[in-house]
Amino acid sequence: MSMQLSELTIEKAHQGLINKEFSSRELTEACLAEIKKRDDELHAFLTVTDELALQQAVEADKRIHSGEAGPLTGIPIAVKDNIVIDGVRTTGGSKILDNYTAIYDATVITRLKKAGAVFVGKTNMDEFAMGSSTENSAYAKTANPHDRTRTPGGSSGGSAAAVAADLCLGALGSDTGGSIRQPAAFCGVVGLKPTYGRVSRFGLLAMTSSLDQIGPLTKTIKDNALMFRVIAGRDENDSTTVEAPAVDIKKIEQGIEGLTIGLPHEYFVEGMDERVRDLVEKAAEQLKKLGAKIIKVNLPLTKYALAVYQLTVTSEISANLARYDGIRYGFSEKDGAKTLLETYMKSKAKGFGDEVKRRIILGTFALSAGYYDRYYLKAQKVRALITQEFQKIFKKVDCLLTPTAPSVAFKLGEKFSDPLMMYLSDIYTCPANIGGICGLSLPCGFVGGLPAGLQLLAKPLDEQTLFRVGWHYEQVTQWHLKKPPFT
Amino acid sequence: MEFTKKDVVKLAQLARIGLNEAEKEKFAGQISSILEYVKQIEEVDTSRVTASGFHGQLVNILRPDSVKSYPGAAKIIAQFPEKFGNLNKVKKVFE
Repeated sequence: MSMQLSELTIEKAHQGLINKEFSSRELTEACLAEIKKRDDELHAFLTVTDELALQQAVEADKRIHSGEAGPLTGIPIAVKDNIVIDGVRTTGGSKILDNYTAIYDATVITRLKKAGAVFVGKTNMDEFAMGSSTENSAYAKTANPHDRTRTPGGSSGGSAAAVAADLCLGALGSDTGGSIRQPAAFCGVVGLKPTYGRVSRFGLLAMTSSLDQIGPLTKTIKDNALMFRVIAGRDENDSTTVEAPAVDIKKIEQGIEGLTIGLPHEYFVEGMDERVRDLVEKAAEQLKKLGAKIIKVNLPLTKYALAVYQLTVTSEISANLARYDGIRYGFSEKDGAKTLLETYMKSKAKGFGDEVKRRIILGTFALSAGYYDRYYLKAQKVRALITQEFQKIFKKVDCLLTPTAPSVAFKLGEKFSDPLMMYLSDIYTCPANIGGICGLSLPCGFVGGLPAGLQLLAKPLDEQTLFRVGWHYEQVTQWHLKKPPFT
Repeated sequence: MEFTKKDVVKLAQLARIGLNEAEKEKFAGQISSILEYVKQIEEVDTSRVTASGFHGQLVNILRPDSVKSYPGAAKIIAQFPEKFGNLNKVKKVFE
């Protein structure tokens, strides 16, 4: 085989494994070798779990030999470092958890272990998933495999870069306002933000509990659906999870003739990169040729989504991050702390980075007496209206087609010192979280050698339509096959 | 709205975060511009959205409490920053 094993899709690797063309051990070793060779430059990983991976690969090979392999058995996967794996260091990209070893498995991990997946490591991310470029990681700045002077997006930048650079076959990320879809777009891979409640958050370090969702990043649509099918489902450890029919892999190929796809005016506004807009409009043309009906629609509340998002996120963060106080686990400042209060103040001062501190302070403000009604409560009311606006539009259309981000990957450092500029890169992705719907980003072309992403949005629990439309588009394009250049 | 260094100091105290002078200055300016941006939500007419309007679709998911044994206590204790036997040792609460 001339192709490197690590370059395979999950689907193809599964075929190779069950046909005994190679073993999971060989496949896993190929990924670990790529990580070793290339991650010094990319910094996609915070922890490489080679021992665990090889042990899991050997187990997977036994399962494959006994004819009990499922689609993910023996498949090397990377996991964002805010999802816990029992016995594995989990930092959330923060210094405050530098020495933390997880003591249980997240539900998604339990499900993937049961499916026989192999974990090659934990990926870099913005600290506690707060950011859009992975530059807020306390450990390293991940490079975009397509251009190392640029960011991979974020906050799941490590996962997106690892998949794009063929360091693994698929990865888990988390998406609160675009943290799976935006890095997927920047790195030229497929990323799904499932409907809120579709995937258990048990074992995900909580950032914004009412918005966070775990989802897969993969090389193709089918691979994404295969991972999603395994991780989705009701979980008694997360009371916000819902029962819903599993995605039907075969029916993804069902034709899209007669589907109505909406192009929301508000997602094609001035100020965005026109070359990205052109690519997304071309994609709409292609979907039209495949039989879909394309209509223009309006979602006038879109412009308020980012403000609602900021207030919701910071408020929930100020509550959720209070647990990192230097008392029970993680970093605890001993130097000069004489009282309990001083332990809190000094541990957080040293353990948290700028973005985390800034958001906690803003959230504390938005929830404080005298400002609660004006900021937090008002934001929740507008959120309800945005949700209603999506409900109405999905009575008219089967899905919406938009750009994933207003630009392609920006330069490392370009937006780092201006938080508001950074937040604006989530402008097209955060409405889906606010509205509780599902969204998928997939490659739709290149601008100056950098991948651009298109986003499909569908009503709650209708991931099937996202995969179906995405798959048909993928079949008539070659974008997902273009690999980043090697140096 | 103008968010001052004094506001930052007060909120940092409430949030139990120690900040240095440079951070106080920087955050005051940055949070002012974020608040300037988010205030646009004031334009939206929400007079018809009641509290039940956005909590209305939510239901409490309840189940009876059940006692389960947990074998991992040692793993939890091992993470304590400071220990006294099996106890988590902390600094005094009062000066």
